[in-house]
Amino acid sequence: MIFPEGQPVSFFPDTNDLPCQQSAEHMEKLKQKEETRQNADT
Amino acid sequence: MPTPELKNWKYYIADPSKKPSLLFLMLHGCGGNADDIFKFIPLLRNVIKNENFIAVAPDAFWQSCEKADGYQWFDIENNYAKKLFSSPYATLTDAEKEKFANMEKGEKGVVKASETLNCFLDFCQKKFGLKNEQTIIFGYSQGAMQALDMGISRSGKVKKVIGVAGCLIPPDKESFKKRHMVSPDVLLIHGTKDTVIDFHAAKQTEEILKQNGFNVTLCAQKGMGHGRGEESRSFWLKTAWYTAKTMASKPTLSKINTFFAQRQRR
Repeated sequence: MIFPEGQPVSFFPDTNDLPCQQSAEHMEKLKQKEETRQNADT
Repeated sequence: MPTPELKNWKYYIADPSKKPSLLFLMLHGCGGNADDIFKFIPLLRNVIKNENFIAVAPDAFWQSCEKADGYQWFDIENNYAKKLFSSPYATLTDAEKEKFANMEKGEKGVVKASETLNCFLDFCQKKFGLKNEQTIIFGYSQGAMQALDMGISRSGKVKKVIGVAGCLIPPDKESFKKRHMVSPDVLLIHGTKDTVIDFHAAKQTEEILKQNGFNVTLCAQKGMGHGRGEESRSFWLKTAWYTAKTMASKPTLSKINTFFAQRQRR
């Protein structure tokens, strides 16, 4: 299996950002969509 | 059946002037990407001083249906249902078990994803001169599910698998037996108020792993959700702390004191 060259990241600014927020938001929306669908079915 | 293609990955070396002693493979959650999970690095850096690690984070294989810069390791978007993670696997209907089967098998399943990722991990170990016993696989949400699957199905045992807010896919003992090749130590971190991937799924995962002789610890984060928003700051700080304990033999004392002082003030 061939893999591409990775991109080096040399610097992380000191921030207050929380990790994985993009994914956490997305999963929350996925859950809400499913709940809406379930409610519509019942 | 082809295995999925890994197109993009990033890496960070904590101290480029020294030989690294640890490889930290980070698998983001559904809808996220390498940059999303790399935001964990500053939190980790605050509690580790004496471990020179390399963090590697690929973008997942399949573009998210709804986010142009979001990806998923296997098709959870078309198969997600809250009930799958909140009910015992044995009580699910055939249609519900089919959703798990869709996430597990086929071109867009977790099994095929693990094949590519384990080859990729071999590639990284060779590139950076590190071995399985110097490797930790860390995943969040769907990334945790993927980390668990690749960790147990790998030909060699890594140092640890850390799964945050995730579970086995499926959390079923019979399916597990078919995948089980090696038994790395496992750390599960999960909020007890997680309404996306219910805490129950982590309990099921812990039970299956324990029954199969794993050294597994489930750190239940009381009152915490899936990890979204400012109210999850404590969840992420604790995750960094638990991860640091795994990575470094002694996380820095001053940082530990700061961490616990912040907790007490809340």
